[in-house]
Amino acid sequence: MTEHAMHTGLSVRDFSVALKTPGGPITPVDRVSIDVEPGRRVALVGESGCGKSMMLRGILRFIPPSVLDGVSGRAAFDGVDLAELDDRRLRNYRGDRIAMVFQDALARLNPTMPVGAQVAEVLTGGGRERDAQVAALFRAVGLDSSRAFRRRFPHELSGGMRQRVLIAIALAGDPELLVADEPTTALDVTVQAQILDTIASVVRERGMALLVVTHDLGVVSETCEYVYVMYAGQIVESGPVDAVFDEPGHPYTQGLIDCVLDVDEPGEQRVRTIPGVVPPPGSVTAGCRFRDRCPAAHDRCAVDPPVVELGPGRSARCWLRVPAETVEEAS
Amino acid sequence: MLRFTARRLLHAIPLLFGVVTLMFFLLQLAPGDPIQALIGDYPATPEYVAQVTKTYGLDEPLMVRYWEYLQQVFTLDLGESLASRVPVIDLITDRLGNTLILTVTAMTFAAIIGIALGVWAGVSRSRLLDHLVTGVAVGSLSIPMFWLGQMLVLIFAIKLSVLPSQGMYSTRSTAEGIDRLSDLLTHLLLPALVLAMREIGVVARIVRTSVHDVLTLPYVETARAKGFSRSKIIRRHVVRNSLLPAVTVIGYNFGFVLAGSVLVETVFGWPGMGQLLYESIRNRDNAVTIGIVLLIAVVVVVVNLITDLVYGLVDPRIRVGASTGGRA
Repeated sequence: MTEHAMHTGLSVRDFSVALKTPGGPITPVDRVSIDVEPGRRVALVGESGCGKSMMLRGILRFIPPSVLDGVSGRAAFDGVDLAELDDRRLRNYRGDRIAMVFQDALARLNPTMPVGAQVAEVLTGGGRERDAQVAALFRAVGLDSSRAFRRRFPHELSGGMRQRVLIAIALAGDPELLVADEPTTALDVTVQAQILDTIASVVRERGMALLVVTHDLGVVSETCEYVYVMYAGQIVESGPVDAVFDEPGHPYTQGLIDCVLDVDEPGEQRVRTIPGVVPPPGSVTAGCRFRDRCPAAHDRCAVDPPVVELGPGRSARCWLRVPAETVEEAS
Repeated sequence: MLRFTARRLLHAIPLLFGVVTLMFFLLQLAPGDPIQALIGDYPATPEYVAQVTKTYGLDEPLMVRYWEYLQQVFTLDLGESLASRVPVIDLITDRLGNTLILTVTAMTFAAIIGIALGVWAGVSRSRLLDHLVTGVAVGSLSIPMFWLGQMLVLIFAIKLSVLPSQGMYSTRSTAEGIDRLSDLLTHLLLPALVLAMREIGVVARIVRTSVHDVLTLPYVETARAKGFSRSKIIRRHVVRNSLLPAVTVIGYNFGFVLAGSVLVETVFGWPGMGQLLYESIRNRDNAVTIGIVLLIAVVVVVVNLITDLVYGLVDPRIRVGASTGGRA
């Protein structure tokens, strides 16, 4: 079977990432399974520090060997295990098939190179043709496509413009999957919405798959079809966006939804928070990792909760979803 | 940029004033007597000494002589050499070109070799190579120039007879054009290398550290996400961005190299300012000494100014007078 025979997109099974730390290895990503089929728009949500970015970096092999203790499980793209690619073949995947949009666009762009050149260097053609391609990419992401603008340096652009340049760079390789790691963090709220619109529309127009990492549920409901909720290195809930938001299967998802500002509520009830913080990877113990912060925690939560199927393509990792009689049987 | 240049040159005036003043009084404190040095070891009658002293105005009180010298310098007149009775400015301009040939060549060596070594060590994933280059760099910093110069003369000029040991051109050479140039280059190679050695070490170490730092920056990961090979990333995104500290060192250390040329020119018989300075100090020829030091100060000021302007070429963020960019 050739590499292109299977158009299954990104398929991640029981994927773990272990990192070296002075206090011994930690596992910020713990047996995670996700799928991003071709053309699908998928979100990965969770608070800061729950392992979202580390999972992406692990899958795409961006973790430097000095830090990485090892990965396990399987992360495949169109049936090819990314972990088994040699450097040269991995490079053929990066940019050309899987492109990344990072957060913090200022640091992500080379300060000494004009932004146009940073897009152009991804393209293979030369001369005038390449110039026209760069201009077209600038237009596609809503930037001024004039030569003068393309000759500007990153520090001469606004944050939103820089983020658009990063999107143009990602699009330049015409990838099948666009991975966006918190692409709107550190931008003004109004600019955030514009950037997301841009990402959503270019992905739809080009039939690309999208995997967007965010902690903004508004982003998820507007741009994605499917959502994974991650907590302390594990996927705690997954399902179609509408179903998950209408009827969350995990108290953590409920908590995230409650955190969203509700303008219909009066006064102080508008803003709710989940008390506490995500436990750092080194400190997790047996049982549900959310139980210390969970309003519905009870005795069973000291045991690792099972992943419960809630419907087609829906599941949650929570004892509350286990029917009572099966619990009796188990114990 | 013009305003920036003008302002920097204005700032240099108090500095140069300070240099002249310091040198003038320091040389008064130095042991030895210019008149005695001028007359030589012959027994001279006190009347004769007094007469010579008067001729050169050295019988005047110190402050009067200082004031007169300042006025002279202000009109760009550096006085006359006691030893040769030639205007100091002529002596220096004869030599300045030769010294600049030597020092600029040395700096070019330092830049090219230092940057190459630094990048090599910086991108190397082999600890051994990294330590080796660092070791060589520290070594080059520690070797005294006059010793290294003499060793190289012993090896290349005397033992192997492949390079000349002294001077700028072969003594009886009548070569013209390209042959004269190649004659100059063979004479230039050893002294320039010796003069460059210290700076090669400094530049290599700075560039190595800088490359290490740049390699961890997020935009290098962006380049990786573009699917670029490591060598392409280093070529396109790392080297240039690592050069800023090297530009600083190369520019600001030009003064050290000028100072170092005193020793190297003496060892290699290079007819430059350094040799002249050495002779003028030996001969207590104070006008020449001050004149050379003043000129070195001017060169350092100018080179530092050029350094600041070159920054902008390497890093557009600090381009002098560049637009600070629009926000949308």
